[in-house]
Amino acid sequence: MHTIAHPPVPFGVAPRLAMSTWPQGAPTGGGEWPACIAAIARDQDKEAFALLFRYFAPRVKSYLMRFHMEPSVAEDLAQETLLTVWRKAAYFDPARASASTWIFTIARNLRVDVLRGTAHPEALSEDAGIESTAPLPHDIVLSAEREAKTREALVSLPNDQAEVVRLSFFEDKPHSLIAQELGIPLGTVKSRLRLAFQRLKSALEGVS
Amino acid sequence: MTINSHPSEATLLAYAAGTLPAGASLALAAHLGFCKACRKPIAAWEGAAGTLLDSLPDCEMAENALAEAMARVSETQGPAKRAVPPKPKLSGIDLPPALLAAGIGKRRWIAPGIWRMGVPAASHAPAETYLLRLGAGRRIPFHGHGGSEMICVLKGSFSDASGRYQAGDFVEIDEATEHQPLAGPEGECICIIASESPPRMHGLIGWFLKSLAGG
Repeated sequence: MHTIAHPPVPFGVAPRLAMSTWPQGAPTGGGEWPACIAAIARDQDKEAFALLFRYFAPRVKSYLMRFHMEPSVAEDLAQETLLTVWRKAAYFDPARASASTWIFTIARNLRVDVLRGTAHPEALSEDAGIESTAPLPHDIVLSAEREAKTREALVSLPNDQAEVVRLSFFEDKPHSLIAQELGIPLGTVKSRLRLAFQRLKSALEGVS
Repeated sequence: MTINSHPSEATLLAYAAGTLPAGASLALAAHLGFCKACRKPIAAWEGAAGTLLDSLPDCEMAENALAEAMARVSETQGPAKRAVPPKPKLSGIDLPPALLAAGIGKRRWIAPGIWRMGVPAASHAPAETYLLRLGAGRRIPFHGHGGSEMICVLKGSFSDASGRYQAGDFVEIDEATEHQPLAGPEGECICIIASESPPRMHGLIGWFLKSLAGG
């Protein structure tokens, strides 16, 4: 068995992950997660799964709790989200999304499904792609770079813009209700989102 | 094919956040089938959401959660086999997969040359989602809207005072809009329409159409 001395080392063929050599807690920039997911896809690696579970399940639960879900329901759905990661590991494409983004979309789709009884349209398309093979170093660099840029852009948003973005993602409220709660016109909510998006877009320019 | 009319940023964001209502999501998914350009902003917003997920505070899981998950993955034999989705066509067009998955109801003729097919899974009163077909050159009587409405043209074209919309175009209509859509002369027009509430028809014909279409 290979061991990894200095993570993040997610390049090329991901070695089997040994828990003792893997950092607990938050990874720097999420660079290790694609290797974990690849290890699940290839070897059904349970240790890699445990790492992902420890980090993501509590965050997914936290995300779901923001939609006023019962803690027990949120717990079950967080569990289901991570089991979906296990089942669909082969479909994860690090060139398209970071692990956090992929896991967010799985949690979102499950939440939508439970809430309204119809699948989020993307839940149907995520299997449609060609199965990804082991991630190439280039892909991971791109995905990590994109994530870093996204993070930078979000952190640099003025408070009023950051607030409408946060409310849009973490509250099941239409924009009209967000406007009401903040005591601003609907047009202002929309223009703040537009400004926030411009920032995000220009931050991502050049990173495909 | 050029697509001229796209969803607003707010609508794209709501789709990425999973907070767009079911019907509007189906209409938007249909648009995405035509429009690659609109997938980019959705991917960017999803990236932002992933980043925000990372920064959320942990919410402690039950003590045995991991053990339970490990037990369950042991039962799972790799990824489930993908079912080959059926691809029924409607008037020669491929229907968006999400729409097929949601299920489409029976065809109901509501006037000469005009029919609709409901999408019950995305119609919770007063909201309704349906496919509407107008024969070439057919017109929907002048009407207003009880709430916002999102439309994706799947086939043909229609026009109203705001412009002409062709296959792939996405139109957002607000409460204040009153219009009289007219199908293009080149052939039938089929749209997926997601309304927050039923249209406000004017006049006797409107009332008649509404009573036929209702339910």
